Amino acid sequence: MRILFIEDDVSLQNITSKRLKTEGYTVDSCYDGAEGYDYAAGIEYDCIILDIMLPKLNGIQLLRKLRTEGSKSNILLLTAKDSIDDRVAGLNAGADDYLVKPFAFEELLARIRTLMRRQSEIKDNVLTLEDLVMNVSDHIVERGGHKVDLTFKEYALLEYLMRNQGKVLTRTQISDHVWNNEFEYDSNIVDVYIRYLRGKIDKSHDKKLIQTVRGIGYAMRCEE
Amino acid sequence: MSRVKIRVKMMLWYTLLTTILLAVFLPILYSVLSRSLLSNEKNNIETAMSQAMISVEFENNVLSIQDDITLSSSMPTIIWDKSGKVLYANTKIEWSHELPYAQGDIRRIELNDVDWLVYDKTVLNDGKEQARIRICSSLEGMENTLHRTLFIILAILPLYFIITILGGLIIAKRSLRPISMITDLAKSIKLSDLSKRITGVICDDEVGELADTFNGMLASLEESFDKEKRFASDASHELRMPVSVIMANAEAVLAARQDEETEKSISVILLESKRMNAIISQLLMLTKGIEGKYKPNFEQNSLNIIINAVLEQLQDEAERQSVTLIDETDSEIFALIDQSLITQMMLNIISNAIKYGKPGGHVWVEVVCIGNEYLLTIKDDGIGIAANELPFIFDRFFRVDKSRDRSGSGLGLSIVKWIVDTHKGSIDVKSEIDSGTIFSILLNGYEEKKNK
Repeated sequence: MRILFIEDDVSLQNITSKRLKTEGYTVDSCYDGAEGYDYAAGIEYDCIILDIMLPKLNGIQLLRKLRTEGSKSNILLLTAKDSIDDRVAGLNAGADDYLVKPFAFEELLARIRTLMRRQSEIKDNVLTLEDLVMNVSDHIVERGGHKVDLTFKEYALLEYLMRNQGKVLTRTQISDHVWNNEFEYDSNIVDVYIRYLRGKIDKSHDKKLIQTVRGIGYAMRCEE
Repeated sequence: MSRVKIRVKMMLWYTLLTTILLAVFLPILYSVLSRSLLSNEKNNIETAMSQAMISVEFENNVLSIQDDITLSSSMPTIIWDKSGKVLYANTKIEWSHELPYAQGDIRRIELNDVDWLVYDKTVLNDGKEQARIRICSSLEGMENTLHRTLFIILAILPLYFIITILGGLIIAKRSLRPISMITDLAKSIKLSDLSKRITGVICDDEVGELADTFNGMLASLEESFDKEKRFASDASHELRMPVSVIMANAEAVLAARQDEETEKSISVILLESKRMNAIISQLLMLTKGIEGKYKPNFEQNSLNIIINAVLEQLQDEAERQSVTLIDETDSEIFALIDQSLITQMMLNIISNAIKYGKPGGHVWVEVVCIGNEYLLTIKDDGIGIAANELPFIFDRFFRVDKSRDRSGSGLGLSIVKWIVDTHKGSIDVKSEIDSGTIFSILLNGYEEKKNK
């Protein structure tokens, strides 16, 4: 597994790449966008960890350049910026995921693992798991043939879980995607929303679809 | 503090001024009028007297009165000779004959409610008294004129006051209209939007000057608010990077095997940097919220579901503090709210109640409908908040007991306040030290769901 880590802050760069190496990854380090481009253009990395605010060529520009040139590497954006615009621009430019600084190293590892599995999100308009059917184009959710009323955020959370069904998603990952970092909620809020969803989807059914993965987060799958 | 509007004040002053003027000038006018009428009457009577004097002729010790005496019959006239015999009288009024004779000035006497002027004069010849003339004149006509004048004045006064008051109000309102325009505009300007300016008041007078001054003040306010906002968000952004580096390094050190003391110290560093990160996050949340960057998403939501889930979520924390959480809501209540924000608000208030609870204590949560509004009450029997600290609990970074509590960001209740404001609700706190605290949140937008 070969990772390219492009980050201009020397001490964060050093400590993170050192730890990624101890986890068994091969890591190349770059400190600015132009240098990063030279590296990325030469080899197809399994994963590129890319900071948005970089000297010479910023993260978004570099990302666009790589994607237009047909790079198929998984790209994880790092950002200290809190604006949604940046994140949306990043995803539109072809980033696979993003992570907000400061992050726990475990969180970074979890994100890399998710990306490496190369299971892309399900792009269908109808998402199903067992007897749970989610029709994205009509905004209709049914469990066992009965319509389930969800609020805006409950729906967004379920859609994110369903599109990534089977994968373990961390709380940070969930809150980054569902709340889109519009706001800095308490980490409890993800757990409370999972309770809302369980109450509406799993409560009156024997087969539970929303699973807690202790110490990590949640996963959408049918309990064996 | 005076609650009387300037408009009314102006009218009152105006009325008072004209009242004073009237009180001074009307009596003067009246007395001038009555004096001139009286002197007129006196002139008449003097003229009549000189005519009467001329008509009395004295020849060879014989008194005679010219036949062509043309004395006004409206003025009773009596002429006596020196022995007191009536030589001439055009009146039979008794008193005019009986009144004691008094040579000299014109007298004014009152008889049967009518004032009379009486003028007695002695006709002399060679220094000897020959005859006495008395002329009386009724002042009834004059008094009638004066009474009528007074009546007209009194009848006009109320009308005059009504016109003065209404006229004063209208004039004041007209001249203050630009000011009320400014007031309306100023009311529509809120802290979240200082970019508005007063327009439409284009004049070079005092009001135009006021509008200009007001706009200038708004501009400098906006500038300093923007600066403050930018400072908070810039500072937060700038702090993120060093915190990332500290966290990453602390984690890396902890990942390797360390002796106990180092591990303990590094754990503290990691814990505190995580806390710092939480404070930065919440500060950003608050500045974003206050800047109006967050667009709330109001939907029908069951408050019961939110309360249940939040209480379940905080159950472990409550057990650690030996606090019992009790939901006292007995009916299902739906409200038009932003689910994420209200969830966050409940988490903040209830976890505070747990944190400041006493072992064996309780936290009661209840929602009730009051007409079109709903009242959320979160009550605890914890340590309470001192009365002198109560007004500041919603301030950023305010801590009730500065020494004891180190956890949390000091922003939780500021966020709660902002969330309540976003829902156009109100929040009220009552607390007594050592016996507990009650948070009451009144929100509108309650709507009963027809059926489940």
